[in-house]
Amino acid sequence: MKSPVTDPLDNTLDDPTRSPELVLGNNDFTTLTAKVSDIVLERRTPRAWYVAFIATAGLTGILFLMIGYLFVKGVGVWGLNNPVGWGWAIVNFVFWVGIGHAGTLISAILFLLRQKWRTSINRFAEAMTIFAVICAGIFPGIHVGRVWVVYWLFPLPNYQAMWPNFRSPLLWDVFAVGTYATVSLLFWYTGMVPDLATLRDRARGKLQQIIYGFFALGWRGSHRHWHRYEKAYLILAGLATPLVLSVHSVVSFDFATSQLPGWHTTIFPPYFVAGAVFSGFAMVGTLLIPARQWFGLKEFITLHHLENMNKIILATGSMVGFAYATEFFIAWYGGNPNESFAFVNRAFGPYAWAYWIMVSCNVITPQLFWIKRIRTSVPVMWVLYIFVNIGMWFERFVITVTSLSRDFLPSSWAYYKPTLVDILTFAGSFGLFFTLVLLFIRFLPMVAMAEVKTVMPIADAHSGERRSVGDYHGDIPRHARGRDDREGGSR
Amino acid sequence: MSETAHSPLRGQDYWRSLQELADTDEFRHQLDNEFPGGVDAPGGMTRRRFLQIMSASIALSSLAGCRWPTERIVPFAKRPAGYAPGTPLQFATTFELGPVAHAVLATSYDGRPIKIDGNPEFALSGGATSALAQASVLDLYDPDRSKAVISRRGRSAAETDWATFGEWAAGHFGALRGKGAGLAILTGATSSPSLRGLLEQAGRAFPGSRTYQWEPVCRRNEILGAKAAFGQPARPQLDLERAAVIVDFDANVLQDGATALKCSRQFAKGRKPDQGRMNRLYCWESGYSTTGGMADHRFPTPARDIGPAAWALAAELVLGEGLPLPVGAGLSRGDLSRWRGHAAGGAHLGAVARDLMANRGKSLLVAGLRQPAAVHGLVHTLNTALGNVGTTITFIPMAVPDFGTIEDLVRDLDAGRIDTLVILDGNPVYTAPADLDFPAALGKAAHRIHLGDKDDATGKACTWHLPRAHYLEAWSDATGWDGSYLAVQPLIAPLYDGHTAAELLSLMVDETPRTGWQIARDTFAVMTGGRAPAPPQDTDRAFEQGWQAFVHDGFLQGSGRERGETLALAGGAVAAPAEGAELGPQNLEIVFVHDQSVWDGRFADNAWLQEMPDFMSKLTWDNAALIGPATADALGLKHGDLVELNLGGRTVEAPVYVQPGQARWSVTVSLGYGRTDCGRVGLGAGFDAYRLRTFAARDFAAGLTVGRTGRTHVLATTQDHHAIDQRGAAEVQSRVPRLVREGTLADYEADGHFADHLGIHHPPLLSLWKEKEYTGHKWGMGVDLNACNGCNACLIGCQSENNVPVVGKDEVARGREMSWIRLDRYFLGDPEAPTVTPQPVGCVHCELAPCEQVCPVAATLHTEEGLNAMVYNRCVGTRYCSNNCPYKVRRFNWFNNFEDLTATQRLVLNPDVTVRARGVMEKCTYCVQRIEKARVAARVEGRRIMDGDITPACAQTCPTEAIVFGDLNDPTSRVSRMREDSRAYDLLGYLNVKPRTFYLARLRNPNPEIAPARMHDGHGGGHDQDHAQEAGHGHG
Repeated sequence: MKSPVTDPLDNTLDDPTRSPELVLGNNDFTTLTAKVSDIVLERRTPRAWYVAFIATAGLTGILFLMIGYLFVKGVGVWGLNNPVGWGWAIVNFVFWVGIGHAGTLISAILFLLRQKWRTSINRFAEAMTIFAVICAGIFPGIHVGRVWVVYWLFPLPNYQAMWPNFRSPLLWDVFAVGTYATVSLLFWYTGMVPDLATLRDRARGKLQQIIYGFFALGWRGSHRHWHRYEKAYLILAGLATPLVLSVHSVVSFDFATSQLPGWHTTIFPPYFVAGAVFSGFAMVGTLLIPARQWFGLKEFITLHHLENMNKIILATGSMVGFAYATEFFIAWYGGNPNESFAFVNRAFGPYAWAYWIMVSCNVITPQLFWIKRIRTSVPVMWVLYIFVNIGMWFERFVITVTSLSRDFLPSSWAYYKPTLVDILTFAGSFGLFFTLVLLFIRFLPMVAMAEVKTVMPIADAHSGERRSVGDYHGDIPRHARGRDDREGGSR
Repeated sequence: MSETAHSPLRGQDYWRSLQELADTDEFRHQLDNEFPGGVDAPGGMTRRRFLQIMSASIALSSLAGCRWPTERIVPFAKRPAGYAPGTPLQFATTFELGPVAHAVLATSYDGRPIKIDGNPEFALSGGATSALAQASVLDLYDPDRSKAVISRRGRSAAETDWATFGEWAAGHFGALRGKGAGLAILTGATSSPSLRGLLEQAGRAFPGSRTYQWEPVCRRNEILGAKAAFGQPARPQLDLERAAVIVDFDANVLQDGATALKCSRQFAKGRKPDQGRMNRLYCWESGYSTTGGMADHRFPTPARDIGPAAWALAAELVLGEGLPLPVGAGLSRGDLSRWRGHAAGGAHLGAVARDLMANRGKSLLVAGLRQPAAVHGLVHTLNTALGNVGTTITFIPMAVPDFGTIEDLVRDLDAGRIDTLVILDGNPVYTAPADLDFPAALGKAAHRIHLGDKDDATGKACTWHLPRAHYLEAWSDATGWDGSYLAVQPLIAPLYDGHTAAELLSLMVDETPRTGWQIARDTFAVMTGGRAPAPPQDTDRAFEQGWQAFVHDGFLQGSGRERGETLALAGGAVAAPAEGAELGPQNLEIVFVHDQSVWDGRFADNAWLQEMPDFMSKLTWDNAALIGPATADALGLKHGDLVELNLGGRTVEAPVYVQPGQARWSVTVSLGYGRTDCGRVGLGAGFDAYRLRTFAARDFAAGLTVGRTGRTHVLATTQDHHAIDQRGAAEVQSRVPRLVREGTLADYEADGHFADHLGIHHPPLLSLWKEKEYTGHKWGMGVDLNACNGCNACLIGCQSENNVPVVGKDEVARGREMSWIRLDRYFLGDPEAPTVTPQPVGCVHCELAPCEQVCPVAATLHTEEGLNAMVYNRCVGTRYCSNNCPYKVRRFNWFNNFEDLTATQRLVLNPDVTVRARGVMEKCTYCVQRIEKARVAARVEGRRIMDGDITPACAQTCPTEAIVFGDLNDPTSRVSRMREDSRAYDLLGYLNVKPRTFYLARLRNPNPEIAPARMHDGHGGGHDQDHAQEAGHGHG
């Protein structure tokens, strides 16, 4: 690891007298705008992007092939059986929904908490939320036996006046995930409008101008626009904040409200939310590290940002580990023999391998972030993110499958194994996710330029010696902080 | 076979040839000449024509029976009296399995038989029937049945028809008539008086001919055992109801006995402690049978040591307890002395002997069909000595025809004495003992004629293969084990132009061949004291009335005997069993048993039976070498290992199934699998144990060695789907006493509510919702675990009634079997000699059903009468209900399970029950279609539904009456009274789901000299109050 003194891009030195700088490398508004928007508009698309895109698009193709096969043949092409009615599809659903949580947490909760460091990573994290929710949304849709009537889960008016069953957690899921997807999309898009206008203004191709222009909604950067924008953003952040907690709580109800030993536990909502944030941050980190590397964004997505994320991973990972311990304690303390067996069976039964993968990845891995050298080492943290991703997938697997495979009557006990279709479908969902991420990187501003400008040193009226770097004179009005007058109205 | 059109409406499976489709004059001509005075044959079949035949057969049958001979068939312009389309009709007929005949009722819907039930009027069934009899209806619609006469010459085979065969036969047998040298007839063990009569007639018509008999699974030992003891062959008649102590020597009397259904019922009746009856069953057997599962004391013993065990018991009784040997006993005290204390009998013979002595006149010893006749002879001697003959066992003497054995047949074939062999039944090329090399011998006859339902290995080795009529297509008759004269009548015209063995014989011996109908009538005339031939139809009023009553009832009233005769010992010497070299790893015993699913292989193409799990092993679609845990350990074998079984130089590869309770060093293999000559269903299922079976050692043999191949084989079981880890196994052992609650008679007498104390202690249960009150009917079901022996009949009853799909081995191996009712069985205790308890589990129809709360589309919900209903067309298939079902009784249609069924196979479906689509959940409905039918009937009659109006398929077929269904709101109903029984408990009642199905705890009656009289030593007392709270409703 490089010394903080010698490495200009290391801002992780803990100095209690001042906040670390959030943008490094003598950037001003112009260079920021240029560096971010040039990735989309000016720079040649790297060959690696094409290679990656072909690979991920291929995987996406496999996903749809598998879904087609599933639709033609039936759910039996998966490895499910009688006691284990939910397998990889539901595991993947919970996994992807969880991934999305980091984006919402960063964009909404950290916004409300005025965590300025969020600005560099929130666009990316929010995009990831949308894509993860898209991937998540596929699974409950395709896992039902009769996909052609899956719309019956929605409370649509019909001639029989037949309503869905409002007691069913699956129905709550429909609402929770639906709301979450809608709000997340709106939030992401609203936040992007000023940046889209920047792209529109800098675009040289006609088509680009038209498309970016269309989505920029006629943004001119007027004070009124900014006013409305910030109000809308604040409201959406307010709306999204409870969703961070509610979505995964509701998802956890699928399990918690059932009476299956191993599912039927009240700890699930907080435990699921913590796990979701945990996995979400790991996934953001997994993607962000290569992105900042390849697209030269280290000055904006600094080591300090990554370190902050690692601290959140440490916190939520500890919560998850604590939840594991609590579950075991209650299984013993509660005195329910079925429940105590369910947990003993998890740890020492036929799925012990999955359980210990989960524990190693989710409990041990985040604890390493207590060590600053690990917390600030990019390659190490990337490897640890991968472990967290694996561990969190296994957590859902362990919860879903081990509980089902051995419930009340031993006569029904069975072992569940996925089929190739299960595996390819899951791999395919990653293909879809990365395809969307690649398209995002290629066509949309990866960093929220407008927001980052507000936290640049130069935007601070009291930043002393740095003032000479930019062209700024006088104080910036609060509502238009960091506005760059030279940039055709958009920041 | 024509496979041109594929419209199911045209029934492509019924055509026999392209000519038929074309319906040419030539074909019509052939048809008319095919069988003079012929049986109506389905002609070039259009849908309309098919319906005509179907309807006509019903119309004609609706008076008394069906399918009367008719020259022309006309569609009805007016509906015949007594027939309404869409209403089922029931006809009495008889299902024959080897020499044992079961009187059954066949249900027919618009001319297609769909279900077989026991004939309630018939003393030996009382309305119950076996799984095999019920599944036999599926064979009727087997698309791989042979559909045409096949003539083979060298390598070439040509499809032809009965007319061609008839011409050839007229010439061939005409020339033989009066001489018969070189003619041989091979028959199975049939009880049909018509067939017996025709065989005798053939013997007279062809004086030089000989008749041989081969039945792979026969009851020869039983009948000859009577001869050994009493000097005359006889059918033993058991009366278990009167027996207080029963000793079963490898007999599996509740499943394999000739009167197993009656025995099961009587055995269950003999175990009603509330009525003051509780018998005790001792069992010596090598494999773990269902009877062994019911035994109070079971002694796993190699089959060959069971004879010695019986002798050791005899020695103990006579020498130890001073039982006087009766007059005419074929053995002396001296003969017995060397057997006293023989190791084969085990340590508890003294206690058993004392128990028998204390129950003289009301005890019963019975030996099994695999035990040599001498063992039967000894057992009969002991029964006589104990005064049981005349009370618990009687005999019906019978004549054993002088047929040659298959060994004689092979000898005569090899000697070139046989020129024409007519095989009336079976598949001897597949089933014949391996040492005889029957296929090679068969080739030495110039003319080989095979009548069979499949063009199987035997058919392919013959010069003529003739399709045989299924019993539901045929007129015939049979003799019940109690001597009753039973009717076999068709419910449907032969789908593929099959004929019966009697018709084939008639073609050979009669001047004018008779139809099956005529043959049966002629026999009836003789049996009722008249003379053959029977009067022509409607010429003799008294005869017609008698005949119609016979066909209507399914048996001749008064022909069956309630009790047999008391025979006296004849004094013939009873041979002592031979003892061979000690069994061990290099000298294992192999026991050949018939399979509980495919019997001797004849049901190999029966998908219901292939998928019906064997009760003990839960194995489907396979047989295996069943080996005990300790033996497997000693041999270094694991479950699923593929091994080479070597017996006297003959080898076969078989998978190992480690079966708890299997006798040490004894390997059980079941026959009937590994067929390569069957249809698409049975192909590839199991291994062929016949390849090890010699004529001399048809039942068991020592000298087996087992060699490892290093390969494994997937065994598809429906319970313990995968090998279980130690921690899991320990958990099962700790849970089982709560799930299947058991106690001893002493426990019960000390505290009738002992079962309540075996549950989980919990605080009072509260409901999340205001519970619904059921004011009308409140359907419920009780299952008496003390009666259920695990015979599997309910499984097939349910499958047949409810169109439960078959999914195949791969899917079962994955855990996707569809059975609505399953028979859980749990072993407890020492793996070498565990106890086992069956527990039938279907949907228990919880009042607070967990499945209903989680279904997002409300596809499963409660009816006003408390049925947990499944709305198939609302179900989207989230499977959440199944996940939340603590009993895991819900079944999901992972695929379209009916996709591959041919139009013929679909005929077996019950039109009263929805055929479920892909992607929907299904489960036991308490046979809601029967509830609704009873409701309609009651409403038409303007009355309330009464107890007994509704019987679900499982309860209807249960031989032990373990399953009782009815209205829990009617305090007089059987089920309500059962609910009040002190042994009643709810399975998983502590979950507060309030199941409507409840169980009565199992009772064991151990001999206090052998095992502790109590399993549960009281319960500390003082917290009965808790139980009252826990109970909530009923018994918690």
